[in-house]
Amino acid sequence: MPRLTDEQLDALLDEHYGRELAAQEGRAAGHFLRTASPGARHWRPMARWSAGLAAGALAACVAMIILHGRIGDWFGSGRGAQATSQPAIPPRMPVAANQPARREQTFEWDTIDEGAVLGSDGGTLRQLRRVEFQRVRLFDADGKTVFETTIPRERVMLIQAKTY
Amino acid sequence: MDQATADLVIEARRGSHEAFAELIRRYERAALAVAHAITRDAHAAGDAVQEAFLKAWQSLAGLESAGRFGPWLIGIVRNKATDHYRAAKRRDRRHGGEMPEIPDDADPSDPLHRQETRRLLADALAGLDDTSRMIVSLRYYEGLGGREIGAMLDMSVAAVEMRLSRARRELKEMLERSDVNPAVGI
Repeated sequence: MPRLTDEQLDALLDEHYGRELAAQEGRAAGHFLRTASPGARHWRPMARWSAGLAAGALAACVAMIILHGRIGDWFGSGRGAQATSQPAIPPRMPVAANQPARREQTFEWDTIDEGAVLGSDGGTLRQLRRVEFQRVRLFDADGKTVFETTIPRERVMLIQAKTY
Repeated sequence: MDQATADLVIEARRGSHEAFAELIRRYERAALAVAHAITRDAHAAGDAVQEAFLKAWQSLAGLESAGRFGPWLIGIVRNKATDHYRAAKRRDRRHGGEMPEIPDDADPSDPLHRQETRRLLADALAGLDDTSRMIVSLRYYEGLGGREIGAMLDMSVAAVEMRLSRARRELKEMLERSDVNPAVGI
């Protein structure tokens, strides 16, 4: 095996570290000024939990409505429509009893790691932002109508970082 | 530590964000070198350094002397980097073993022997102990001498030089044992 000279080893190590860490340089100062400066937002534990719970509850409601196929009722004759055969208010988007509207759903999401942030209790938290777009399209052949709705959601998740 | 840096520490302790940002700029490479030696991953090192500087900012009041800022900061970086390393190990165990490493800097125009040499060097560095790896990265990434490295890591100059010499010898031996000629990759 060929011998490696000291100069060759030095060159290899210089190149290795420069290549590995170049992309990380300069991140910390900008991050500090964004996060710890007086105008930066500090998260309180209650705020982050309540935001998470509210977003979760909204997502659960939307999922329930869609899973049970009641979105036409929801937007048309209202909650009481199922109990009566003659709804008091004519539905804006009638759905035939044996022919439910065709439905398409798409769900797109992205999660962005926004790095460490300061918590009000002095600890560091990891901030992840999850952006979601749920699109629902309903096709009603009888009424020749298309109903489309987009439900955007954004959740900020803060994960407690382990401290020593 | 020079007087200008000590003055920045004093300013930062009085609450100056700008002074602390300047301290970050001065110490970021050393912090990255130490964090990378522990995490062995550039992204994890970058994250650990960000968190360490935030922690240091919050704990500045506990710093006994402005002249001790460097070693004090490096102590925080080491703890944060260790947290990241342990978390990564836990993740690996949950996923049933080591996750395959996907090189994000693979350049198709880069000759294969260069890529192989880099992999060999990374493996050889991983074979060193943490302290030796820190000394090597502080020397080759930040360009610090034995005295500065000793001050950062609370070690004597002689101990730093001895460990550096041994680490270089071990690295050479590990590289020379491989089938690839590492000298071609330079």
